[in-house]
Amino acid sequence: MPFFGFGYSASSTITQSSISAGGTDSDAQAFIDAAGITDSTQQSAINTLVTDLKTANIWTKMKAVYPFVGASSTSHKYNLVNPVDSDAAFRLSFSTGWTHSSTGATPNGSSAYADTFLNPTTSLSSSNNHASIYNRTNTAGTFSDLGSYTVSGLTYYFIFRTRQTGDTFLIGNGNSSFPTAVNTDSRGFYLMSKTSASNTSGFKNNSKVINEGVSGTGISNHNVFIGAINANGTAAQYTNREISFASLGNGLTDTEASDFNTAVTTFQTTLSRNV
Amino acid sequence: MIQGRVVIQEVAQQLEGTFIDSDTFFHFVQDINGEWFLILSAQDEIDVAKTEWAYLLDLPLEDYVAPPSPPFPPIP
Repeated sequence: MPFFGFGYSASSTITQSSISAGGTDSDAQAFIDAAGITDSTQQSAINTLVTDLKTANIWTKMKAVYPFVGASSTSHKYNLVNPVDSDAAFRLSFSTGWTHSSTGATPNGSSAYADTFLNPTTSLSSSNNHASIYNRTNTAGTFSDLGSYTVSGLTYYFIFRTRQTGDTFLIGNGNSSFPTAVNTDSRGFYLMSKTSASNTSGFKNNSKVINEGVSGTGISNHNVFIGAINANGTAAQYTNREISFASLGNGLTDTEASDFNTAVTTFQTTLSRNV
Repeated sequence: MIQGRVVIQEVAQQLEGTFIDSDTFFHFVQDINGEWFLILSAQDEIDVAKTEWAYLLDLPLEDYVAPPSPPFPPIP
């Protein structure tokens, strides 16, 4: 049953194309339908997330958003921005080794990853990109929460380690420079963002912890994996952290990053899985 | 210690990337000794049991030791 669903005829005078019958955003409803979300709290959380992202004017910057709502691979695989069951829509395909639950998706840390089918070279740019992830597990190691890199003369990166060995948060979205920040707890919401060719930013929850000048052009030309890194065509650096949200898209300003954190935190809190 | 099922290389190569349902595909990894492992979650086992590859579940579970991580940044 649709969220707040009731009869709605084609002759309705409602003119806001993004609002469907009963006040549910049409993009939220499309996701709810595709993912088979029947729980009213989850439906409401999705609707609020979509409207919050639209209100903050960051919805259109999203290429792929994975809310990991529901408790199955089927409900977890859909891209909120384009909930179509196809590679072109950046729907996730999971390898063996994942455990899906109402709090998120947990890879086994040894062999599990998910292919987003999003290639940074074709869908993003080296001067305008972001990635985010919400971790619910505190572990340290040579884990990449998501990313890819391509070796072609130089090595081109789109890499994201929320807490690597040595207790640092590392980002890399270009062909050089891996700025880091001290991080002793991998739980929380992480964002790396680049809105110009010369600077990259990293955020943990609502704090900007990396702000560093970078140089070089180019970005990975391999699909981004979640739960591991796509190392020039092969999955590697598997993580064992439960993931409750992830996104890929254009770069976000500091204000947009703050609004994004607020929206995602509200979403996780509504679902009683915030950390 | 994580556990998985050891298969011969030909099986790993044949099944790698094959979907067991509409969402999940087989992925095999090599351990520190070069043996090919299939590491399934409990949910995967339920799904595999419904397929023509259910025979894989009859293989004994063995401890998996990952090989060392490659250097980072990688050397072109």
